[in-house]
Amino acid sequence: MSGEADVAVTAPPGSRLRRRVGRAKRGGADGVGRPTVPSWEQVARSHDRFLYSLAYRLCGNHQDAQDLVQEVLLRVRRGLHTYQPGNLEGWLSRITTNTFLDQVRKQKRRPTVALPDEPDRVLAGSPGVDAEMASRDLPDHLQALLLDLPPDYRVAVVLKDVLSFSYEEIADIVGAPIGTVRSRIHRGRGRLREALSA
Amino acid sequence: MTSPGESVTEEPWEAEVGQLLGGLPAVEPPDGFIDRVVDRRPLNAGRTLAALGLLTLGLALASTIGDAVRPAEVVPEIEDLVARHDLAATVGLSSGLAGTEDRAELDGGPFDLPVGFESEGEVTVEDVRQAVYARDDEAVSVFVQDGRVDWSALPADRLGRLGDLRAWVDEERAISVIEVDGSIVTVIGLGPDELDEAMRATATDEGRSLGQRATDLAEAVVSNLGYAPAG
Repeated sequence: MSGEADVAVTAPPGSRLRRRVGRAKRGGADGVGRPTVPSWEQVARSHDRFLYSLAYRLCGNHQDAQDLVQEVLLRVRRGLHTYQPGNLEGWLSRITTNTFLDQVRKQKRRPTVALPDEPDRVLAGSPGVDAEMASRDLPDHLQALLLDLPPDYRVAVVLKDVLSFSYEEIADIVGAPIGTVRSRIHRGRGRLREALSA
Repeated sequence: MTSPGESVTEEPWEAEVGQLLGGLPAVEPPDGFIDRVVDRRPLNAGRTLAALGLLTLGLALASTIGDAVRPAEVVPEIEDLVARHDLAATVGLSSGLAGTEDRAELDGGPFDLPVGFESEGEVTVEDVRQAVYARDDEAVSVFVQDGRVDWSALPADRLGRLGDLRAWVDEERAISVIEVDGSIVTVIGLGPDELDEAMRATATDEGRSLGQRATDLAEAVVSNLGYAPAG
């Protein structure tokens, strides 16, 4: 049995974001069972939690997450006519991660410092403080460590471990070979492991 | 979750890290956030423009019944073209998102874009051809469709001239619409300066006027995208 299967089995019931917010809210079907394309507003309202959670995990603070979701919904509105009913979450994730990576690239050309909502949680660099945070508030600590990952690794790890997409789905979302996706996830997890044990 | 065909071997520590991340809670958007986004969407203007466009298009078509030799007047669906451009720039032409895409590589470009732009391919959706060019994370789309521009249906404050050609230009969003030989050419992603640069590069004779260069540009676009000038 692979470790992948182990993760799925041993994860706390309902802990996977996609299970909580995604499946029940997909687009409907017409009278003969064909999937229908939801309206833009339906997408925005039914997947607000999904989009916002993904954006927050990628950005690490509410202001950037809100900006990202707004930009994503704008692109969704403009591109919804091209969406083919099927994996709506995958389609939304593709737009979100591409938009996020676009913004990262632009910020590299115009360097700015994006602070988390509670900057001291990230800016503190000493192992002692990290260890204290880890014992005090693991989710915030994990979120801070996610922000230390290179954007490509962060995207892959969030899609895999937070949203439970399969390797194949992630490869489709990010437009990279499965081997590359596996490598990014493996390395990303490795960095997180090192940081957690520091 | 493992998809069929995936054979994944992970170290136990990977599963542990994955499990930790899987326990991260969902993050709720702030109260009223989605309402504000939905209510603030710039769709009303688009709908108004589209409705106006459809009305005008209908009137134009009605007025040209019996005039078979002249191409119909058409209102370029600017917002749709912008959406197609954004989508191509965001997820690429080969994203598989649109079933109507008919991807084909272009031989060279319709005109000489600024240095570094390379052809990404071409798609046709609802009789509007789109050629996409990219440079780093910049993208330019050139749309070509049959017809004559119904200038009266486009916002008048952006009507002007590109050299000797009548044009509709949205400088802020880098959108230019011109018409040549029965085809409408809409360029998205090039600002006025870069568009001028492209036209200059296309010109074979530096002494020619801007209007002549613009005509060359448009004819080159039409020719390269396979549109024969209307008789």
